[in-house]
Amino acid sequence: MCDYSGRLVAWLDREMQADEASEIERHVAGCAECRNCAADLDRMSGVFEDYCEALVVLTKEERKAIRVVPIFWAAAAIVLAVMFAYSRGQVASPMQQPSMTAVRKTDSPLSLTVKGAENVRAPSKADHHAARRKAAGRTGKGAASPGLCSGQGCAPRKVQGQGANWVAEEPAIQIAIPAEAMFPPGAVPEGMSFVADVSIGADGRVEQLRLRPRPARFERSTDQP
Amino acid sequence: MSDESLPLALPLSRFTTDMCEATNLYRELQKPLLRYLVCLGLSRDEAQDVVQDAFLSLQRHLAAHGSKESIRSWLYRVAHNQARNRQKSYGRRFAAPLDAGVESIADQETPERAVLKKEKFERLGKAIRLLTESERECLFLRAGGLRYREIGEVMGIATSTVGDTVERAIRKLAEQCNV
Repeated sequence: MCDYSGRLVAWLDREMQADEASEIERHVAGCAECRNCAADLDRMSGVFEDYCEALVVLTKEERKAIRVVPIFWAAAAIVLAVMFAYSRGQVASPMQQPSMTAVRKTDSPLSLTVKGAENVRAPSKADHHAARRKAAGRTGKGAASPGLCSGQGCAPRKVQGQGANWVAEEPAIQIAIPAEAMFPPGAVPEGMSFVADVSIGADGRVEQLRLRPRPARFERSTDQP
Repeated sequence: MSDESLPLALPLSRFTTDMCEATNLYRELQKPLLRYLVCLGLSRDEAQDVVQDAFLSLQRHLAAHGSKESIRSWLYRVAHNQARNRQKSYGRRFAAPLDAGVESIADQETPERAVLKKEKFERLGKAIRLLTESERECLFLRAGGLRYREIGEVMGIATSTVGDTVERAIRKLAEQCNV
């Protein structure tokens, strides 16, 4: 066995000083035993690295994590919508809000339509973060019944698939909210809309608002609570 | 002043630089670190927890004006120590994830190659279990791309000792596996 044979791995790993490395290089060039040994050790190192690589296959879990992100955004958007509706309701009667167009007032629950329009403030970043923090708690329980419909694919009750131009059977108040203010691009799965019930008291204040996501292609059941 | 409030006390430029550095390190080292921890015998979930904790520690370290020298080995050392704390029955648990990993990769090959590779990996898995703990750790860290100096810093041993340990370990594996 050569004097150099105990340092072949370090040499292969380029972990030696230049002068020492060149010394071993010269030796290996002239010593068949060390050359074969170095080749074996190099091959073994490669197999070991393949083996380590094989231990971690980060495929399915990672893809799942990526797919979950749009759901978070959708949940955040729903909470934003709820917060928006509450804040409007508590400041004054809906009839007095400049950003809302009063169509007709009837008994509650009211049907609201979200359309592309210009007269609503865009949510701030702080709103977004607050919404994301609260998203799981507020929307995870599955808030109850229908009424509010988002801009894309909105089609509650009997008129299906007519988009944002749909007018409720007896709309009391129509609120226009730009879709881009609520949903980042790609946040809402295709075919998904949101429905909500809004209860407004005699003094015009919002008493209750419930939101839930639903696929637009399904007919809403009328016996929902 | 708590640790969490420290970043706010830093000048903005330094804070931004530290955060960029931490982000770049995360991109570069997240997967190798995860692989190292799984190789040590942690489950994938445990390994991901440890990686998250290690990078949180890194952010606190940078925010507290910690040294930026050898930051890679610092990160591995933190993860390494956390992994050890989580694994009280270290030697016993070492075997399980190795076999599972071999199965998962073998499935991705053509049948003939899968069988050969599986046999080779099974032999190698047995040989790895015969190594000493420090030999295994040296090899896993080396497979993660760390230099001998960095491996020495992670394990708290001299660089020359790392060289000897790696040489000995690779030779043992080569003898056992007849590669």
